[in-house]
Amino acid sequence: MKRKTYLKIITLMLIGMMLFATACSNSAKTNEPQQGSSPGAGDTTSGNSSSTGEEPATEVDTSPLGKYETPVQINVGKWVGPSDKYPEGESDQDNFWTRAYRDELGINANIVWTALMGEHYDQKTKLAIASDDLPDLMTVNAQQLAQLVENDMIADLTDAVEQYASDLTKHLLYADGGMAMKSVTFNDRIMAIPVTGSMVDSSNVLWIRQDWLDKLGLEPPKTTEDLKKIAEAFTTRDPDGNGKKDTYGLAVSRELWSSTGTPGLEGFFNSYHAYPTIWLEDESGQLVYGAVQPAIKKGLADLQEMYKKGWIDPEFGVKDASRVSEDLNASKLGMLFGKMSTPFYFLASIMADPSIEWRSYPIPSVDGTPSKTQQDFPVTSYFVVRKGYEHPEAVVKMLNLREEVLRGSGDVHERLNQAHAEWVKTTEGFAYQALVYGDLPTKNIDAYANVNKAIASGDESVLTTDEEKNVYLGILDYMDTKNPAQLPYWMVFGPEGSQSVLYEYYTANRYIASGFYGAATPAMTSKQSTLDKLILQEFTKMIVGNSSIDDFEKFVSDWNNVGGAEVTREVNEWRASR
Amino acid sequence: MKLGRRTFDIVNYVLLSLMGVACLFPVLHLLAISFSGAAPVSAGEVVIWPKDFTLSAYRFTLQKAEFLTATSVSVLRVILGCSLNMLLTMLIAYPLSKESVLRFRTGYVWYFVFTMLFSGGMIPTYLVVKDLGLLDTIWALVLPGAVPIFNVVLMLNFFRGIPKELEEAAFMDGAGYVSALFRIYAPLSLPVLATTGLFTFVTHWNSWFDGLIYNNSMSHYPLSTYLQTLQVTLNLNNLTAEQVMTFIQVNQQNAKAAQIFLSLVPIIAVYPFLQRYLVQGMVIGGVKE
Repeated sequence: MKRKTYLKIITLMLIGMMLFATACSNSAKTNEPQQGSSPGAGDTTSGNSSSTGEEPATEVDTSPLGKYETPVQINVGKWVGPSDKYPEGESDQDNFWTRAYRDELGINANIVWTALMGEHYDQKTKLAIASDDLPDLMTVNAQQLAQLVENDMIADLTDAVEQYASDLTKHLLYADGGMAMKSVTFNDRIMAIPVTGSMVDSSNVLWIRQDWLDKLGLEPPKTTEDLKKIAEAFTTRDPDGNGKKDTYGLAVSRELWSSTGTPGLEGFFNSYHAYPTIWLEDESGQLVYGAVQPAIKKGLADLQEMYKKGWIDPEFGVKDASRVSEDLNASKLGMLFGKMSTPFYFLASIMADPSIEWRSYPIPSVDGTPSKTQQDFPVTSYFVVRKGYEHPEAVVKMLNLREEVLRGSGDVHERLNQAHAEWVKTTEGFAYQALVYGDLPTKNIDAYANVNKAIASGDESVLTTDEEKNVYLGILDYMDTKNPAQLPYWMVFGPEGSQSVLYEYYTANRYIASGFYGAATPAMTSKQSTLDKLILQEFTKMIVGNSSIDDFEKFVSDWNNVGGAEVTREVNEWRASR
Repeated sequence: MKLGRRTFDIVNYVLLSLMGVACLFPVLHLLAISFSGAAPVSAGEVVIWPKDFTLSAYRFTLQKAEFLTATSVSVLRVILGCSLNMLLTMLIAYPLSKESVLRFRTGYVWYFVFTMLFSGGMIPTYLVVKDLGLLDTIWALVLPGAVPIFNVVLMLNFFRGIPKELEEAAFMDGAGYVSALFRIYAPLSLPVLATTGLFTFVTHWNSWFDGLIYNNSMSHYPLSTYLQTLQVTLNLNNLTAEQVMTFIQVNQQNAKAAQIFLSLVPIIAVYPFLQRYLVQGMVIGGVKE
């Protein structure tokens, strides 16, 4: 008896709460449009925007930089950098770019949320997608893009791009030969705008302690045999002159592969014409995974030999990238395969001790043929527009405006370029970045080429952008004063900087790009981590000599059995569908 | 017999001191890094004694506007959150401890315990917070966890251990339930108040994830969320030299260590004073008679 009354009361309470909750959410929804149309940007016109949004547009200006008669509003979710600062009185809501969008295009950008780039931003976008509460514009990663397309949550941008993109924008988007645009094309429709970047910058370079090399009277390596000789000398001939045998030839971390410029073995294997972490075409034209190709074997055998002879830290298996970078800063390691940005990890020690000198070289080769570096697909994020947003072309126009201001030739460029350059100098971190942007694939090597032309000739007019000018001044300052604060410029863009190596790769065609650049396939989502773990485990075992190099074939068949074959099939299906 | 007892003691002390060292070591390491120069830190030379002693990391931190804003958000959150938590916990625990007086008591208890076992999950909770218009306000950090059920249970059991006669005497003297709660029960329950108070304090001070998802801009982050932003790693491959340089400036390990250590200070300061109540509160509150 009593129990029944309990149940009734509880049921009533639950029903009551549900009603209350619905009432709340309804009232909140009706409030929303009003909130949306009053951005604190302080302009009077925005009040009209939401009302005009519903009316059919009467006259549409389809020119790339056409201004909306009645301003339109765009709600933006945006990432920020860790040290962003706007000049006094400005904010992400009110700065050069938002004013330019408003005055030149009639677009009121309203930043609805920001989060720190990386994990935090991913968390916010995940939340926005899962709660079906997308801002009109935001960036997402490849996986999220595929998810959004599948769930039909984002706008088709095909018409917007085809009708509105300026020549400069088209040049930017297609400069890599169309790969970036292919990655956003689903069923022949353009579903997003890729954040284009530089594939060249993901090239592998060999970093060597130049001061040690000079001290021991050695030449930079041309072949992998040279590399081994240097590794031996760095280990056994006491390059730091402290009388102790406490240095190693080659830096290897527990992870084996490089992430964000940490020491990795990709470049080492590239020297053997093997490309461990990318998809490449075999003789039959099929895409195959680099890590399971026979060319890897010789590289592994040499690593095993180097490990056995003590040229590699015997404890590398327990040292992660940050421990390895501690060893680099403590001058315990003489060589590493990394990226153009790797000096970041040992900058502290060079700044403190000017006698330490690191220099980058192209990767050596196992035989006479020049080796090629592998390159990763540079596009990792994409601009997407919420489905149902009335003006998807506004996003294309915003990109048009940025390109015009930066490197155009029209009157908008004349008016704004100088002001923009001045403004950028007053910002810090990534605050200078426009809301829609992208970089040309060759931006950094172009900068290297132009800066060094200017240094050689003393003629500053060859510098095409403000960024190049800053690099140029930084390098001049370093050459004059050895100011350690300018070291990154010097080590990356200087005459012998890492970009010079990248420039060589680029001009001599010494690179191989990954044949796969789509979103993760279903099997990748479920199996990739197992496959990566298998590779890591088996490679480490072979390097330290716990299993013989002859086990490589067994490893390959294991890899195929635990999902590698399935992933390979899906990757080839993906390519056939392109 | 005696010997066995002694060996047990020795082993016991050794083990306990090892555990103590294991807890203390990370803090000392952090402290040493925060007082050291950048170069020895990145070379991994600093263990528990500072090298190239400098206060620059602390100077940098205390001048950093973001750190100070985040601290003030956290302080506000702790003040609002703790007082709300304590008040609601008491108001709920008191009636629920009255077995004979409150009808359907078990029903109510289950109603609360249910939320301890099942929750709506992240997205539904987010939607509720959003539709209530709490996003980007301090209330989004305070209201969703306003009733910590674990503390309610703890306090409820503690209240039941207090002799009924005291309350009855108060009623005789004309007190109502409210004054009985605040003038008889509360002063007698210091151990459990201190325990739950400490729990809520630590929870509010340390939780960072809600600060991330319920706030739309970094200037509203509480301290723990802000500290999280210092631990990120960026993709350096696509950065220009200029960008790499700004990243290096904020990536000074000693500055990070200084900020983390400063965030530990309030908790380190509060614990010793509340610790003696803590044990008492846990033991008594955990026993059901």
